[in-house]
Amino acid sequence: MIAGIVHDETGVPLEGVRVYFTQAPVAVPDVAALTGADGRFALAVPAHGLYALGCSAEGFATVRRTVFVAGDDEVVDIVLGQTGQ
Amino acid sequence: MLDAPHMPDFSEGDLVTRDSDRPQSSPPSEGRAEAAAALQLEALRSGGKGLEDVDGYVRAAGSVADLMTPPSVDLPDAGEASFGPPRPQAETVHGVDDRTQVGDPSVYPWRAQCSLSMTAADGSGWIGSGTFIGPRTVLTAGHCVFVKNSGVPGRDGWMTSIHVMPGRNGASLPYGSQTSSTFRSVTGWTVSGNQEYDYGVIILPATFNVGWLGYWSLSDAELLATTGNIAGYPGDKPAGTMWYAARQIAAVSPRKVHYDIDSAGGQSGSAVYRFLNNERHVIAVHAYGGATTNSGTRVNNEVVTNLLAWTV
Repeated sequence: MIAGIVHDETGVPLEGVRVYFTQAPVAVPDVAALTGADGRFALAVPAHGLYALGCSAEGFATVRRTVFVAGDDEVVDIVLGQTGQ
Repeated sequence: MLDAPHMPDFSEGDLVTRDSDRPQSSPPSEGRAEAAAALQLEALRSGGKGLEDVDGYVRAAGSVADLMTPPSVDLPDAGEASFGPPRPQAETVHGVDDRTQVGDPSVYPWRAQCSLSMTAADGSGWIGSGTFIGPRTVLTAGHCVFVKNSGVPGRDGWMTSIHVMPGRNGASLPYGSQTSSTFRSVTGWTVSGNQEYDYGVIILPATFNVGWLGYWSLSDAELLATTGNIAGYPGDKPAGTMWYAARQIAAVSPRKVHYDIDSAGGQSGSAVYRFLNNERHVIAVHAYGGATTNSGTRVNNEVVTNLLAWTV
């Protein structure tokens, strides 16, 4: 599993951020998780290997993050920067 | 392995449903009368290639092999030092991203597509897509109605609710929305978690007058000669916007259809449909991003049988 928290540059957790795979070592469901009020998300990973996550939210620049899953769980911390809109 | 993986499985929610008495798939319907001239113009614009007429959309040229590019990775992951280079990567956008935004999703056939906001048993939120196959029936991926093998305590099982928004365009909901907790899938997915049985439907409490697509079990040869069309709600684009792409079907197996049509997380459940002779029929349900192609659950005879029983 890849779990994590998404927050802004000041550390405030962001709710409703769309988190999805853009790369995976095997076929993965084409859904997107929405972060909760605490900014947290958890995505199941069907196999070990290199994954890339996309994180998108209105008013913030989309972030892409690679995660190498070697064990059962990986935890990531993702910061979204505002686009200035 | 189950003996009958297409055995229907249900979540009744708080809705009493009735069986369909239709002996065959409902023909596609726009939900209201449209001028015949408009339909003919639509066919002319598509050039007879099975494409929809979307401003700015040009189907990518070349074969599937021509379109493939090596996966791009922002930076090498530190894990490579220990585990060596990764295996070939799955990307849901292959080569040039030729997805085009649908300008007005409030008109048919776009309004027969819907944005889904799902809530799982643990309260987690998800987005997906779906397609109307009847006035109250939305076809989608099995994993959009039933979470399987999540690894998160309390998450697996039927979604507790799904918010359905046909023809959504950003914050605009031209036909409003409905929330359902009545779903259908099959034990091949809900019990076995087999990707080959990853399909289901949402039964709505009330009718939406947005029209629907038909569905059809085509032969291998017919599928391989078909342009697959997908419109849905990808998470990497502005929230709630609909995007369209189309390419040739690349490969088929008895229960899967593979294609190089670009997609992104949030498009699970989108119909892969054929547009021929002014009729649109679902041939697969988009469900997975893959290493060289994306894939969906094939609408074969068993799937048609279940959809006929479920469509209201």
